[in-house]
Formats: sequence, C-alpha cells, structure tokens
Amino acid sequence: MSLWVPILSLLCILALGASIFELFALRKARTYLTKRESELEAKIYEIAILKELGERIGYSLNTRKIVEIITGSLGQFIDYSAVSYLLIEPQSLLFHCHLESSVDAAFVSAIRDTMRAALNALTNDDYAKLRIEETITGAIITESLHQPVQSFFNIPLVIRNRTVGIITVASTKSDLYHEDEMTLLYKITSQASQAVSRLEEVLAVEEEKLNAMVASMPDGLLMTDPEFRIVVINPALQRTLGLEGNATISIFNIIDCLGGVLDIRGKLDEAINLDKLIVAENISFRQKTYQVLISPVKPASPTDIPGKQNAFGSVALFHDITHERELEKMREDFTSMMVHELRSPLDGICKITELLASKQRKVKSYQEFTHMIHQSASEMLTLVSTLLDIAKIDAGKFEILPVVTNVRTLLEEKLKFYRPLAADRHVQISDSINPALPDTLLDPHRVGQVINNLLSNAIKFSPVAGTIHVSAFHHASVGDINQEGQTVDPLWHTLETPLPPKDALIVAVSDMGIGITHDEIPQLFTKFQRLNAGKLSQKGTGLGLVIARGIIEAHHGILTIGSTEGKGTTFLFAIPLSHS
Amino acid sequence: MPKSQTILVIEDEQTILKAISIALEEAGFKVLSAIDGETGEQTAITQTPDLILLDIILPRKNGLDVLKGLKANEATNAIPVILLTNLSDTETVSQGVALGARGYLVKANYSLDEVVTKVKDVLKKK
Repeated sequence: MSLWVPILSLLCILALGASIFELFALRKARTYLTKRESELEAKIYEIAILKELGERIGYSLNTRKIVEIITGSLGQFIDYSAVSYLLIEPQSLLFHCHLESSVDAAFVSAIRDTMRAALNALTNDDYAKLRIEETITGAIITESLHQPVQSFFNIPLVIRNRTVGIITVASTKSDLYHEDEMTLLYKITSQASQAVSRLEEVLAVEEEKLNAMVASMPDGLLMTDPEFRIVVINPALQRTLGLEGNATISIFNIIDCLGGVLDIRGKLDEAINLDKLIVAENISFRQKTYQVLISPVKPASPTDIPGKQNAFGSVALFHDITHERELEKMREDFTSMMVHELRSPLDGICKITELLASKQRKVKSYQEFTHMIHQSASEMLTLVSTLLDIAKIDAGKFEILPVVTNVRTLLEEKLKFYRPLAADRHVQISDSINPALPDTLLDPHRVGQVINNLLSNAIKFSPVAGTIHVSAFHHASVGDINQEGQTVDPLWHTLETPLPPKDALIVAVSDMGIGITHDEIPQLFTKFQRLNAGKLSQKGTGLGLVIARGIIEAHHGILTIGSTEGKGTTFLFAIPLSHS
Repeated sequence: MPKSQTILVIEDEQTILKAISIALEEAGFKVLSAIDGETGEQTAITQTPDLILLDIILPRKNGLDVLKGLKANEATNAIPVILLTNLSDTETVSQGVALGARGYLVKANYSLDEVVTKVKDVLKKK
C-alpha cells in the first residue's frame, strides 16, 4: 500500500508537469494563433482597402483624383490630425490638407513647408518659386490650440520613375507612427503608382503607334476640339499648307492658308452638329487639288445626346487627288481630241456630199469632189488604224511581219517622197546613209511608218529654210554612238540615256526645230500628252511617236532622242542586228 | 445681196474649206481662203473682207489668237468674225465670243445651207 503513495505522488507530479507544459504550449499556441489571426485580419483589411482603392481609382490617369481617393480612405486605419498631398503641376504646386481634428495655422504651414522641402530633396529641384494653390478641408483651424506636429511621415508618389507629388500624414500626438502604418500607406501608394505607370506605359505605346501612323500618313490630317483648338495636325498637312516648322498653328492659320477655297471651320462644325461625314470635292490650293473628308470624332460608346456635347471634336482628311484629276483631264482631252480628229474628215465628207446631192448647184467637177471624199475617208481610216495600233501596243499584242530588208532602199524611197513636201516649206533634207548597211530583218511597212513619222515631224517643226539631216549606219560592238553620230550628222544632238544597244542598225533624223526640254521628253511618248502649250495650233493626234516607239520595241530596239532647247532635236531608232 | 461682198474662210481642213467656199460662191459671194492662222490674218489685213469665217484649231496661229490680232487692228476690228469649230468646248467658244466674235458654228451641226444663211444674217446686221 505504502508503495502506491510515492507512485501516485510521482504520477501526480508528472501529470501536473504535463498539464503545466500543456498549459504553456496551449498559451504559446494561442498567442501564436492570435497573432496570426490579427496578422490575417490586417492582411485582409489591407487587401480589402487595396481592392476598394483599385476599384475606385479604376483606369484613371488623374493623379489628383487618385491621391484624393487614397487620402480620403486613410482615416479607416491610420490615426492622424491631418492628411495632406502636394502635387507638382506644370505652373504651380497643388497643396491639399484634410484636417481630422482642429489644429492651428502654424501646424498646416509646418506640414506644407516640410512637404515642399521633402519634394525638393526627392526631385533635386527647387519648388520654392512655384506658386502654391492651397485647399484645406475637414475640421476648422483654431488659433488657440498651439499644438505642433508631433508625428508625421511622408510617402512619395512616383509614376514611371518620376516623382509627381508627396502624401503626408501628421498628428499632434507624439510617437504615433510606426513601420506598420508607413508600410500600409506605402503599399497603397505604390500599388496606385504601379497601376498608373502601367496604364501610362500602355497609353504611351499606343499613342506612339498612333502618332507614328498619323505622322507617316501621306494624307493631311487635322483634328480640332469642339472649340476649334487644334488637337492634331500631321506633318503632311503642315507641308500641304506650307506651315512646316510653325510651332503654334491655330485654326486661323489654316483658314488663311486655304484662302477661302474651303470653309474649314464651318465644315468642322457642321460635321459635329449634323453628326455625319462631309465630303468636299476638288478643293484646289497651292497648285494641288484635294478631296477633303470631314468627320465628327465621337467616343467609342456614344451617349444619346447628339451634337457637340457628345463629340471630342472633328477630323479633316486632305487627300491629294491632283494626279487623278490630271489623268482624268488628260483622258478627257484625249477623247475630245479623238472626237475632233474623227469628226473633221467626216464633216468634210458630209459637206461635199451635200454639194454633190444638191441639184441646184452647178457641180463643176465630180472628180475633184470624189477625190476629196476619198481623202477624208482615208484620213479617218488612218486614224482608226492608229487607234487600233495604240490599243494593241497597250495590250502588248502588237505584231510585226519581219522580212530581210534593204534599209538603204527603204530610206531612199521615203526621202524621195518627203523632199518635195519639205521643199514646199523651204526645208532641205540632207542625208548620210552608209552604202554598206547590212540587210536587216524587219517589218518594212511598220519601220517605214516610223520613218514617215520622224520625217513628217521634222518637217513640221523645222523653221523656214531649215535643214533636216537623215543618217543611217551600223553601230558596231565597240564605239561611242554620239561620236559616230557627230561624224556623219552635222545636226546631231547628244542622246538621252539609255543609249542604243551595240551591234545595231541606227537611223537618225535631226532637225533645227525648237527642241524639247529634258523634262518634256518622257511626255513625248505618252498617249494622252501633246507638247507645246498651244494645243489649238496643233493638228493631229500626237500618237505617232507612241506608235513609233511601239513598233521599234516590237523589233527589240529602242527609239530615243537627243535635243537642245532652241537648237533642234535628233530622233533615233536602233534595231539590234543580232535579233535579225 | 450685193455680189461684191467678200468672205474670208480661214480653215485648215481642205475638204471643208473647199465645200464652204463652193457653197458661198454659189450664194454669190467672193471667197478668199487661207489654211493657217498667220496667212489668214495677213489676208484679212490686206484684203479687208466683209466677213471672216475662222476655224479655231489652226496651224501657225490658232483662231483665238488670230481673232485677238484682228480686233486689235484698226483695219480689221470692224469685220464681223464667225468662229468655225468642231470643238463643242464651251469654254473656248465663250472665250471667242468674249474676244469679239459675232457668232460661232459647230461645223458638224450646220449644213452648208445653214452656214450660208448664218453668213447672210450676220452681214445684214452689220
């Protein structure tokens, strides 16, 4: 029995020890859990605040609004007398102080000065000279209080690595703020900063893309706000209006430049008010013609209210249609020229047959009249053939029938025909046709047509008592074509590039006419173009050279030109012999 | 209709020139002709016809320039000029009228008889 006593005592002691241990462990665990719980609560609270702030800030880029939301919600978890923010604006500093409890004016000034000093330190800049716009809200200022700032902390507001302001929490109580408070406000501010920074970065990238697109647009672009202040004017429009390098462009500059051809202000306004696209056709200024499209600029999700309240402004697009209009004009001219050229001989035939049909008239010579009808009908036939040739050349279906031809004979026949015609105008045709010209594989009818064209043009453009020189030679594999030409042709004009191919038959016709400027040369071979401003003085379609070039190119050769303005022109065609 | 009245036809289209000339001659006019602007203007100055039929598209000097020359010259500025044209280009025609032409004929729209009638009308109002 006595043995049980110590055993029981021992057991009791052990149990007690265990209980005490358990109690300690339990207490420790409880402390731990309580701490965890409070940490979790703090964390949840922090998250809740951050979430709420995040939602309230949304996608705002307005720093002031964001800072107001942050400072406005701070009272929920931090004890303070005043919460303030100081923001850097372009021309001023924005100081706002919200008082939770009454303080004296010195308290507010102390916060403001501290904040400004902190901002100077943070940005390495001096804001002393900037005007401060100050607002104080909340409790009233009571001068009798005389309670200085006892505790405070600053949190800088940094967006995209740039300090934009500072938030300060201050209290009249001493030793109030510790790491927890600062960390929380820091986290909130930094989260807001990050969100804004990300948003700004995205916007900057998008803006850059948009700017690059607008800047590189070939069309001129103008956007104005509803008060006609210029929001965007791209480089193309600045060039169009002659306003390059002008830093401050207003709507009045644009109105001046347009010089009354377009009521741009009225149209921009009309586009907003009528909420529709306005198209102004054929607006000509500064030697160009534009189609101007004017459209209202509205938000992506418009409200129901039409008109200015709902629009960001309007945009005008200046599309250069000068070239289109020129082409159109050339086509119109071409058509009217063709109509004229066809109608003239047809009209002649009508008039002559009218004479023939009239019994009252004494018809002196039927033969003469039928000859005239034949002549007019032939003219029309030639023109129709010309049009057909042009159509074939355009379609790449122009065909030639090459046979081995003695070019010397061909040229001499042509000279025999044209010399009397030239003589009528007191124009002389000299020649230097190499007697040893090789027989060449070519279409004699078509090449003859080219020679006709070059000779008749030369006669047409020769001055009275002028000279035309016709030369033909073999341009061998070596040698300079211009030197060779000058040797045989006293009227030779240095040729434009590209130069004729080597080992080719060369036929050149030089005249002493008015010549052609370098710039006008490409137009010579253009279907719709005729040179010389005096269109009314010219007869003919001007298609001869276009066809001539088509014929020579069908022979794998080139038709080229050398000209000196005021002195004369050399037309030359080269047909490669290696193709023969 | 006095037979002595002279008409100068300046027209480079030979067939039309011939046809109009015959029609006018048969109507009792004396006809002078020129196939380019320069010659036409010279003929007008030296011969002072009673009326001029003037084509617009002409070699050497176009019809409008000839008209300007005629109107600027005291010897010829009173001679009525009728423009002959195949152009239905109203701009050119109104330019001609502004320069002092008494009328115009789109050739293809007028028969020879109508050309003669028009000439007579203008001469009557002279």
